[in-house]
Amino acid sequence: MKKNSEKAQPVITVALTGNPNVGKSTLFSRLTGIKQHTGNWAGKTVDIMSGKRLHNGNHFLFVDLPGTYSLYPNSPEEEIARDFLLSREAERVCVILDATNIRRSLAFALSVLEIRPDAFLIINLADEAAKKGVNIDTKRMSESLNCPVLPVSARTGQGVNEMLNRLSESKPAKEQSFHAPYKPWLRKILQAVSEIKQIDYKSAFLYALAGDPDALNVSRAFGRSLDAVQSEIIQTFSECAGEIYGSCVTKKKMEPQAARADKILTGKYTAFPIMLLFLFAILYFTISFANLPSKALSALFSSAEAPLRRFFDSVFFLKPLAPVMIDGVYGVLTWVISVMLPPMAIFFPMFSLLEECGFLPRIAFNLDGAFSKCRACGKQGLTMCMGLGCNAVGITGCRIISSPRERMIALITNSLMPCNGRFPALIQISYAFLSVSTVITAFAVTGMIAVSILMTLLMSYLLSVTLLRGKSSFFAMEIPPLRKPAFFRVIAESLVNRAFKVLLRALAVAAPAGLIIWCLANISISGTPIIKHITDYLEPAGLFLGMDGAILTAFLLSLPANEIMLPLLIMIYLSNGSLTEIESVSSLKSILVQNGWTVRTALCSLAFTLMHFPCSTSLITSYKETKSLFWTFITFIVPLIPGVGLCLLIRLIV
Amino acid sequence: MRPMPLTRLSFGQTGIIQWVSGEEDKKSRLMNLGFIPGERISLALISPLGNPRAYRILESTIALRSKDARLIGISIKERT
Repeated sequence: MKKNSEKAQPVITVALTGNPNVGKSTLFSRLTGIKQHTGNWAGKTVDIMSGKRLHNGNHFLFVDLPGTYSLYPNSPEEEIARDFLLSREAERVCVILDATNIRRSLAFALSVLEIRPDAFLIINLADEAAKKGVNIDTKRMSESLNCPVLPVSARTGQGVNEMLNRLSESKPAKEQSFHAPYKPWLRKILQAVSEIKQIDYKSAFLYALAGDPDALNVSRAFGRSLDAVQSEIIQTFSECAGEIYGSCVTKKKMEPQAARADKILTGKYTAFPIMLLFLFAILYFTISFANLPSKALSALFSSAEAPLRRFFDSVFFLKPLAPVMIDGVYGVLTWVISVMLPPMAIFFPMFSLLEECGFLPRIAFNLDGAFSKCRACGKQGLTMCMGLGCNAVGITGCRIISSPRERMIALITNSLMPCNGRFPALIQISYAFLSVSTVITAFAVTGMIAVSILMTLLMSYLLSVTLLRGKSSFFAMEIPPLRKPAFFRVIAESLVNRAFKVLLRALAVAAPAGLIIWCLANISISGTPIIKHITDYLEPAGLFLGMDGAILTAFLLSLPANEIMLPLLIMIYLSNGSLTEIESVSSLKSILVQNGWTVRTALCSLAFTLMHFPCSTSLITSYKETKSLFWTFITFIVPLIPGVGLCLLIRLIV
Repeated sequence: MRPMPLTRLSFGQTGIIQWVSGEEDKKSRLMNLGFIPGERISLALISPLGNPRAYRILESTIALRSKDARLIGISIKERT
């Protein structure tokens, strides 16, 4: 972590720690300038991020530790946070507290002070708390805890300079000391634990909290259960926090118990209609606004094609490469950009706004009842929402689920949610076959996502009674207050961090895919292009699923990027060797109908688009997350089963 | 008043936590979330399916399933 610059200027490592949802990540972005996305649900920051800052000649390395409720590790992320604090790798420790929720933050801050008496308490959102009538006497708090207490506003940047100044001071102005006011019996036990373990008395409580066998034996020897010791430790910090809260915080009026908006968002009869309405609205806006920029982009790219071709033709050694580079790689790349970028640029910011205002934890809250019946975790609802954007993002997001079993279920079933890359095919096929109006199409796609949600629940249940047997575990989730998002900042960050990143990743796989597809379509074996051999081979399987060989080939070849499925299919149908653009919906329909499509083919293709194997990026991500080929295979097969089932069902009925 | 499980708390009532039980792991998790004997607690939200419910504790709102909320015993303060 530590690196010295050329001038051997020492780098001061500063760890940022705190409860989830205290604005730690926002402060981190403010300090380091690294654009990192900050969401509004508990435990979002799962990777350790670090970033540098130069202030008055001092080099700082800020480390953003995962949000944690306690130093008692309930998850690997919390363990990382604790171990980092203990390791002394950080010369400075900043505990971030939420001024609007300071009572809870304080107990955690005190337990950090117990092991790191040199810690700084950083009170975030002090301005917002003041608006709510909460005043915090930081001077008094600093005196009673014997440590620096600094108010900041991570959003506006207020107080950040002062914080950096104080962090620059080589030594704290006075000797800092905080001692947890344990009861005498507990102090004796902790003393004994520290002697046996040969550790500092002040960190002995961590061993007791973690259920260390020595701590258990010592407790017994003193005639107490480990349970009683642990409760007493937690209670000591909580009571001490209560006292400090009482003496340093003044509150004008009582907070309302719960906002009226919350009662509607989670109401018995209103919750689910509202969630569907939001989904519908997002899809409607995505469908209706993405069309025009998509067309403009593809026009732009095709107008650039002729000069590009001339350039290739003019350079003698590039000339033979022109078809493969322009028709293959350039064609696929520009297609992916023009089809994918506009809907993503609309979808992701809208999604981020919902996330920022705190709607997502309410979705998880509303859905948990259903998930718990399927023996899974309500937080899976969050990862499903993320999956709507990009399944690979959803799969990584499963880390917010603490039970390994439930995390695995969420990970495996994530690809049942159609990602942004699959929207174009869903939208265009249903637009062409089922309806001709944007509203009805948005309705149809909302319905399809409802099918996906039901299938996710069903598959989660099936996994829970077979491969991942078990009962639903402990579920506790903080529901942060609804807040007005910083509109433009959220949109900008979402475009840069989400839409753009996902696009780049798609392009990285689309380029080689374009090359391979071009070769398959243009290299012939015994007179027929390879791709024709494949479609012929897959024809029986395709017909069995209510589709045809070409559709199945398109699905297989779009493994690297789902968004190329439809253009690829049209390329096969028209057998013209490069991705083809369709001028209008009616021409799309006529091409499909000419190739034998019926309503049944359309429905089966929609079902298969909704649920088939995950894209290669998702598979690689799930391998990274599970570190197991077996579970990656399961991730591959699980969405395929209901997809095939649904196709067969449609074939039977229609 | 006799202690009763947290699940019996209804809107508008304020409870005082009397005890927290559950095997070690669950108990300390609950306590770390702020469910600590002596703290005031009230019901904030009920999810559309009736379970989980969200409780107001230590100035924040925490959702718990009834299975876990039963591990917490409260006594009712007078109606507020």
